Amino acid sequence: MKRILIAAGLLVALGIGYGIYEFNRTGKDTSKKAADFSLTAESLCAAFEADEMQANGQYLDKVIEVEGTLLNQENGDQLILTLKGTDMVNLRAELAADQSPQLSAGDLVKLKGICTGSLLDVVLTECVIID
Amino acid sequence: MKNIYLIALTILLFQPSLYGQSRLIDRSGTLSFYSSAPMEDIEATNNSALGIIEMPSGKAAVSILIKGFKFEKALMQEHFNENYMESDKFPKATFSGQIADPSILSKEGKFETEITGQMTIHGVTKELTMLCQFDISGTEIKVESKFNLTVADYEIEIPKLVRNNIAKEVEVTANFKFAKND
Repeated sequence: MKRILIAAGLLVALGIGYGIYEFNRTGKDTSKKAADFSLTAESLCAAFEADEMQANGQYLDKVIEVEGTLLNQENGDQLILTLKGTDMVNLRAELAADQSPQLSAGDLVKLKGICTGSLLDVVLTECVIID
Repeated sequence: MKNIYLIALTILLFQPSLYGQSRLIDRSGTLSFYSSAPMEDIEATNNSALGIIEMPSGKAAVSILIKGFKFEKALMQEHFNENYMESDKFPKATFSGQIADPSILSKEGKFETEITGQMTIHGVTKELTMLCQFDISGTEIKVESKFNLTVADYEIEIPKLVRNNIAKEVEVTANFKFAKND
């Protein structure tokens, strides 16, 4: 009986601990996640330009590693990089808070982030620079 | 299924410019919402809202990716996307409307006017009027608005278990900055 009570107590403690961990868990750390897809910024943008619904089904919420040429960077609340995609659609990469790379327009940039979909541009969030 | 307002937004974006019309675009609009409830306040921000103003007609459109909202806590973000907004099914929210007094767009200074239009969230479209503050200089137009949305209006179901922790209304704050030479 005593063993059952101890085991039940341990299970409850584990459950509470897990609940507290889950409740306080912060955003995704992309640097620790393996990429689901690796492709060029141009290929990713072309996929959304060709069929947005299909691209959403394939890439939404996935960790995607992309390589592309830096067109410009905006430094507001967070650093946002625009990488060259197709003639119509570019890639917009919102960098994670701890990222502050020194980059210039024209640089070849490799990064990974989480795909949230496409407006005028395809958007990746929580991006981290690779290399 | 493509929503009629997404189509309207696309037409507004890609139709050939009418004589004398030009479009100002901000890809980096900020849209945040705040909900105060007994157990915990909920706050999230999206820094990639797309805003468009057509000059001088004063037509305005906003589009936003639901999965682009960032919360402090990952669990909240997951519940928001999976349980409430069903963002796999409804990945965008859109607004398409008309500035009540578009004549301000050709002036400089601070102005307050309403924008009335159709807001689509969670696949449900409702008419919405929001009061907006315009700060217009020679080079840019800043637009700020704060308004309330009623969750139930957009058929967003909150499970009974957490109903007391989610406010029935959320306060939305939107900020856009349009460069006039875009």
